Amino acid sequence: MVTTVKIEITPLEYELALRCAWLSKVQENTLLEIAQQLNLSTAKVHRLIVHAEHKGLLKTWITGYPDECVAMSERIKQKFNLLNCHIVPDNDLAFESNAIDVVGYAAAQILYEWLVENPSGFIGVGKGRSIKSTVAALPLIQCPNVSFIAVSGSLTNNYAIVKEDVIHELVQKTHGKGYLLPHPHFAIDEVKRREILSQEPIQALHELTKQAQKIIIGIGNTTEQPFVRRAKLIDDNKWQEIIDKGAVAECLGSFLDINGNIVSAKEHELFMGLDLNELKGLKVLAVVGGKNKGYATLATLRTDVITDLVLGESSAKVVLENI
Amino acid sequence: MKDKSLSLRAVWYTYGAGLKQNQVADLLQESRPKVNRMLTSARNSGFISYSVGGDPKHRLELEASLMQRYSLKSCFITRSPDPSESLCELGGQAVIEAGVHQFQTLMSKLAIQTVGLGKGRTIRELSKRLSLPYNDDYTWVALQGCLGISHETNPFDIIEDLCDSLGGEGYLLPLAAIERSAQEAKLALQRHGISDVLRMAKSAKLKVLGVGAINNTPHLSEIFGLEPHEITLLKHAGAVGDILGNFIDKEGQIIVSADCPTALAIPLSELSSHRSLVIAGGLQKTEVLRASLKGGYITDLVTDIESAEHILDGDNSEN
Repeated sequence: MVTTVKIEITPLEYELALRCAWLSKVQENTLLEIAQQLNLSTAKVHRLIVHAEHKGLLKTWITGYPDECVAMSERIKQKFNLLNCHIVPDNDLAFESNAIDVVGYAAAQILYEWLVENPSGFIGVGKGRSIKSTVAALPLIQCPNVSFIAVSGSLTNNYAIVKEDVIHELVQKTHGKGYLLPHPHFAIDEVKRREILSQEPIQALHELTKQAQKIIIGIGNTTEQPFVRRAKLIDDNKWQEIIDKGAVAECLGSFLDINGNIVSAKEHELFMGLDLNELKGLKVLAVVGGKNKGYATLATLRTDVITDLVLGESSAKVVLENI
Repeated sequence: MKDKSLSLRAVWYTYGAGLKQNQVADLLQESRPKVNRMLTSARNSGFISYSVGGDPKHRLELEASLMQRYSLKSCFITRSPDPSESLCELGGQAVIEAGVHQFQTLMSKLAIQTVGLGKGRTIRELSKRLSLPYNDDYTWVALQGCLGISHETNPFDIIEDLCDSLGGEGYLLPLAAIERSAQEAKLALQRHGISDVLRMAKSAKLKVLGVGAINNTPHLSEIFGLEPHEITLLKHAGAVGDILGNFIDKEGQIIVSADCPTALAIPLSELSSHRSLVIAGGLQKTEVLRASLKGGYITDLVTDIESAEHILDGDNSEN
């Protein structure tokens, strides 16, 4: 039986763990060299490196993709005029959660680079499993001048928090500022929507979302249980109506048919957050993990809103077959 | 080409999806040793990179700069303390723990058993945390007068405690840390038995001490018994702080004047003859630390990032 023991380290061990990780992985010193330099046993050096990894201080990154993935990303990038496109291998993975994690990991590297290159400003953040996985894979990085802001309501209709929101975890990992949108994802009716959006603090927060120059969002596949359904944001009847109108994708409260046209739906009008069309001109990274996101991704790419894409290869194949 | 792609696939599944090597082997229908070889080959081909948070590079660069500028033999920089944490005014928990680590490292690397000790809160915190095998061959010897003028402090604590907890012999200097006149100081140092302890202290291959800032901390009034007006006079004379009771100016020169007390301690020139480990952090001590470094009284330093940055910045702007 494997038991996980949560070990707290002392301030000195933290200092030593940083050094061990750096000297071992970046400077490529041997454990013995580090042990001698820091007056530790090699076993202790090894333990501290493992610890640095568990604590998110040390992160291993991959700087290349398999050739077949690179070939697909080039085609998708050209076809949809993207700035960057990363197609991540997931073909052999047996479980959906693994397929999501591998994409989240690739997206974490991009987010990390954003934060290193420009550790200030606003980043708009969506919700969902791929986004959650991205943030889970993000290592600790100190950037207190970055603000993360939710781009859609952070509550359900009964005012419970949406669990696939990541603002809190981002703040913990980066020591940046976090802003939730403290209202439901979809309003119950138009009157309620106007009422909520007329409140001054809500308006101030919505103004902040408009400051974001970079946005990171997920894309939902309507034929599976997408985020809006998992979080119980839309009831069965309304959902069936949306499906019947031909929606294949859900993205930021908009429902899209395969051609990327917005399906007119009551829920779309009741959505409270950044609208898809407001994203035009911004850097928009779509993180799409899972093997069955091909049609949903294709539909969303056709809106011309996405500038950067991280997608699993299984979905990428479907995109390319149906262009 | 095909091999490269397969290796990269194995790497993505291992690091990206978080699978174990045997799981990856099953998925790719390869043997586990083959997967291991694929990971190694991807690493050797430069497809793996690492990032380390917490900025160890900055610490190591600061250490290298300080070592070069002040000819140090070792230097250890830790994070700076939160204003709320305990021991913040001494540089924080990390500085104290790193000080203990360096203390023990020097003792074991240099096979040292005789250690000279300064006094003050930092040294007391260090000595509480020392963890060495019990051994009656240790010699703990005071580098400066142990008696406080104020009776609130018990200056015998450190050396007696070390003898109790780690074993060995302890030698105190039964003098005050400072005398107000040079004449009294001279007489005190001539007292019977003092010269033997001083000789032993001078010859200690490792001396561990702190530095004191000149400000309104309890340090100056409680340990030295200085009155506020005397502290003001010292400041006017250019003192930035003390090292073993010697008040020094910003260049590290001992201030000699009628208003300045005389230290009852080993001469500061003895500090650089062997190893002199100074542990000090917190922004209040930056100036006296820089002066002590300039004076050449330190061979091994433990401090925090902010202090290190201020020491180097201040020195740059003066030159």
